Amino acid sequence: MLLKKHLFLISVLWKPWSFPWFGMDIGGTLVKLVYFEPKDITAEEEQEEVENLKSIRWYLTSNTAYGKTGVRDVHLELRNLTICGRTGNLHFIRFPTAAMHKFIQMGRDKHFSSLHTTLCATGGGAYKFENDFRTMADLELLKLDELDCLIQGLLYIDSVGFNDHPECYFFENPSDTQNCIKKPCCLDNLFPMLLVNIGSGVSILAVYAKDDYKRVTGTSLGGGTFLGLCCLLTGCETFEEALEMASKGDSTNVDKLVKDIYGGDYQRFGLQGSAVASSFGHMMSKEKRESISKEDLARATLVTITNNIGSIARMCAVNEKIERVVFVGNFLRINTVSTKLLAYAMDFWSKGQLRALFLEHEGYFGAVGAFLELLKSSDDA
Amino acid sequence: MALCGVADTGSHSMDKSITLPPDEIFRNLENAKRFAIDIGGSLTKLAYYSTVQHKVAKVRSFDHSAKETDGDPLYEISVQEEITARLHFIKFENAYIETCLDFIKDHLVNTETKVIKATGGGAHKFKDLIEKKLKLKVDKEDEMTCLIKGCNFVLKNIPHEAFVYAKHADSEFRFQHTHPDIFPYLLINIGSGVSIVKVEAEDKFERIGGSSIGGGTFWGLGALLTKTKRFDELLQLASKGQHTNVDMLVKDIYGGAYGSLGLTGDLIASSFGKSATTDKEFSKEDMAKSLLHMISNDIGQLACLYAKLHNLTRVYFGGFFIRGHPVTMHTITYSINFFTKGEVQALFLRHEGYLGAIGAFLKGAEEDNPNQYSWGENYAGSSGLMSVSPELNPIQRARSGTFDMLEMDRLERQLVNLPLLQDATSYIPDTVDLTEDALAREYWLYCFEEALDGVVKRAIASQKDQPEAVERAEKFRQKYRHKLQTLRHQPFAYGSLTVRSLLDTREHCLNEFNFPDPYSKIKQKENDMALKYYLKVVKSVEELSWEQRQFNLVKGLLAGNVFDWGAKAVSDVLESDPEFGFEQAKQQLQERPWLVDAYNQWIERLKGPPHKCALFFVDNSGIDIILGVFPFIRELLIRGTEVVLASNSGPALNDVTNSELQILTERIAAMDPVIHAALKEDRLALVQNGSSSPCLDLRKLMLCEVPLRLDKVLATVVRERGTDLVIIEGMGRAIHTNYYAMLSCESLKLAVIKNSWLADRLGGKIFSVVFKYEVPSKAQGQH
Repeated sequence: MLLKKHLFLISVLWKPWSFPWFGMDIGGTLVKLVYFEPKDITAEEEQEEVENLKSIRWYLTSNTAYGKTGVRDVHLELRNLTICGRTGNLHFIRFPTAAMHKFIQMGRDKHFSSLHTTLCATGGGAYKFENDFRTMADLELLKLDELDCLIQGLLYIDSVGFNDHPECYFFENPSDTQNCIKKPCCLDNLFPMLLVNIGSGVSILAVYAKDDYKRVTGTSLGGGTFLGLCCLLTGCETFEEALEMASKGDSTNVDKLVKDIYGGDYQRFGLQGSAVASSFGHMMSKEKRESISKEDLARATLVTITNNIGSIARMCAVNEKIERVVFVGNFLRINTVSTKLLAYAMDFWSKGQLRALFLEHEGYFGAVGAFLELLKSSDDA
Repeated sequence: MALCGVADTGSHSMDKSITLPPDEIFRNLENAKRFAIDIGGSLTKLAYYSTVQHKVAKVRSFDHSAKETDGDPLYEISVQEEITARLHFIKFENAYIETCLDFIKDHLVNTETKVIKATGGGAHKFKDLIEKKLKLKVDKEDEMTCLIKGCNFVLKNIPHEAFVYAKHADSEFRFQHTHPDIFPYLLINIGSGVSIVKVEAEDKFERIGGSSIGGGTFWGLGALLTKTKRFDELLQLASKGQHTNVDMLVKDIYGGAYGSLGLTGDLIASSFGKSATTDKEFSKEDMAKSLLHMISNDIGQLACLYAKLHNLTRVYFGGFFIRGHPVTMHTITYSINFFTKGEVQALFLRHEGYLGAIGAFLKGAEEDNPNQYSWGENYAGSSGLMSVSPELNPIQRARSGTFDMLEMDRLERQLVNLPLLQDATSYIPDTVDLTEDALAREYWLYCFEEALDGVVKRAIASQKDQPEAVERAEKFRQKYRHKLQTLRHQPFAYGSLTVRSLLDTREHCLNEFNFPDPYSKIKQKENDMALKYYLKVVKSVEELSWEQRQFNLVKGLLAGNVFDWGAKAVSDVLESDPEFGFEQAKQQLQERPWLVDAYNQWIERLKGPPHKCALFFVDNSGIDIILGVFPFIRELLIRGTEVVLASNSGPALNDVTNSELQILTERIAAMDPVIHAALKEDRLALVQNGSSSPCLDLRKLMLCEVPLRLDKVLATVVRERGTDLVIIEGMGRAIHTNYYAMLSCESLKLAVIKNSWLADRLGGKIFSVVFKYEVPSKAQGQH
């Protein structure tokens, strides 16, 4: 009897993790948001659920686009995920950082602050917008380190898998364009890995264990550079547009190849004629500048940035003596030109020593990591 | 992934007239041979070898077996023709190439030359033109091989070839003291792409990496973004822009720094990141600046990754992206400092633009074995490093658009280090670096300009029999004055500016106009005069007590050193009062305690056992050598110390040359049995030091013993004789240079400061005495 009563009390008083469950990563260009939609809500809960919480859930799950620029990546949704005793779906949403103030206003309008939840945020914007959240929407952010979140999020998603499929993939025959195919893979042990996160800029981490990593280096030539240069060179406005153009262009009209200088291979140094000798090298000549298309320029920009990241990542891998190189970040979203090129570059320049790995939820790991922190912090409380 | 390839020429039209008389550019064409050419994207570099005939002063002893009369001079002076080898390198814009080839064709006499070595991306483009004009077969050489060969050559032969660039420092250029062993190093060649080459030995190098993001990317992408066609203009734009308007910085993302990673707020997080998110127009200047930062940082990062992987700390940068442009040198330096936290320094080269041409030339001249000789930059025939800051010096900038020259003279032998240097790698001969010390620079430039009239007068007087000497002397004056003016604006033009380099430049200019030894007659007169007093001086010293004698000998040595035509204060006195005698000089000397006074320690040492062998670097002729040095070494010889007298191989001011010293020694030996016996028993030997400078670089000694063992280098002499005392005399050798040199044996550095400014700087008055006696610490190495 006593025990029964006790259990009853627990179920009434214990409100461990009040909904909504969010994790947010505010980057230089994009805000990434993960939202856990509980699917095991009891009728009782349903009744208790406050109105604005219900409306948030309804707004997020019934739409795939928010405002002009917010998007839910439906194809990435993780279904029937059980976490902290609750089962539900994990949704992946993104919108431009430029719309951050609109988002904060929305939080105010929906009286988010009345929900008594903690908003876990990572990325530079967690610091930059902290004060705006406080003053505009009466919200306190729990700020988290972006690299910690990135790694925890990545390890978590890799462990739960992608709706019964592996999260990780690689390219078979990366050096053979005809037979280069994407192959899912399960890795028994990820460590040590070189983690290359390509957002607006690039961070390169050497990860030795769950809680043991260091930032090796970074480069400012990242996704932001690709899009920035594409906008200036072609007048395009979005990443999708830029990639669409790039997919149709030919970079060899823009880049100077080894064979353009030497007539063929540069044998003295074992360089193939088809290797790029000078990115945008043809653009030194006026006639060539006048003869190329926007698509060619977009393609050359993409190839230049991608090869450069590949080259730095490879050098870091060699210096750190790590063979697995994992590429993540939103630069790789819908960007098979780059993923294949990275796979090729790793394989070719290392003579097969290095392997490039990719993850399906490429840009969302920071947000997932922040989301995991939310659950952990409530646990501690 | 990329190469040192070459860019298309900017399509601007160019005035084809040559602004300098071509015979002053392509010098000595009449006996030129072994041509090589390096044609780049916008500049052509031509190299050839020539022999130069110039006059040298020789002395020859008269036959003294006949009865002497008092009025006879000791020896005769004659001027002879000597032939030396010279390398010429000329750089000019590609637009002039046809005019230049025509000029060369018209003046080329040597018909032995059948081939011209060619390298550079433009070599094939101009192949037909060269073959048609010069009737020479174009023989192409690999670009990278030439580059490395050239790089090795300048690093080995030109002191102060490499420098560190510091934009905001007092002197933008900080020259490096060349390490005797130049290998291994990393060469980052930034042409249209980037090549990273590891060089381990003369012929052992490997391209370990590269990048396609290089100068061509800056130029090509820059042209697209800013509609500016020329590379130089793009750099101009970049130097005016604000990259923070275009780049996304850490603070744009974080609102401040990313503290936990130590990333400051101003760090670029994403190059061109703002142009992806903001809908606005960007200025050309800002975009060019952002692009420059992006490319420089990227290259710097790769260079660091490769340097780290191969464990190399010497990293040289070259290629058209660098080529003396302060803007790119600054951004590359910044990037290297950032990525290595100061562990690796970005090094640049004064003659970077010539490397390919030098290498191609060396390939073609292999049978002449140019690498077995030492070569020295001829300051008279070389343009020096341009100031490239346009705002600093617009006129000079314009000149670099026309012609630039480098000439190197073959030195007679390979030069070696004095084996007694404590640490040859850290030895810096010069006491004051005038590139960094602006006050000292101003003074010395003024001083040399003031002294110019006197030098011209003396040069004319030395060749009274030749009426055209006046005209030549005038040309010398113009040339040297021009050099001094250049150095006033660009003290870095020939590497670190020092009193030594100013003196050497003057000697080079004098030689250029065939004044090989303006002081020959004066030296002759003074030697004659001093010899007459030799026995008298020796005798008066012999009568003194031991203690008195030692002091008197040192005073004599110092007094002798007052007689120096190199010092203006003294040359004034000497010229106005020829009777200024030895005794008077002694009285002029500062009373003890001297400015630097280690006399007591020296005397204590003399009370101990004699030195085994003393190596004495002597200074002036006349009273200095005869009445100062000889009585002093005579005492050493009597004590049982062997003596080696090292004197200049060639003339400089009134310094005694080796050939003069031979005659003097013979004459003294004839009078003095002590010297006679010492010579006969080989306890007194004469060596030449390989220099024709009033200063002394202990790293560059050619030391062979004369007359008995001609080709023996000093290393052997020092080792065989067990040299345990080095004496360095005079302002040039002991003050301007070597003042701080650390030797592994006892050393005596002595001089009289005959310059009131320098005396003042050292905290004394004119005619102050420096008597520095040093004993290497025995405890060394025990710590």
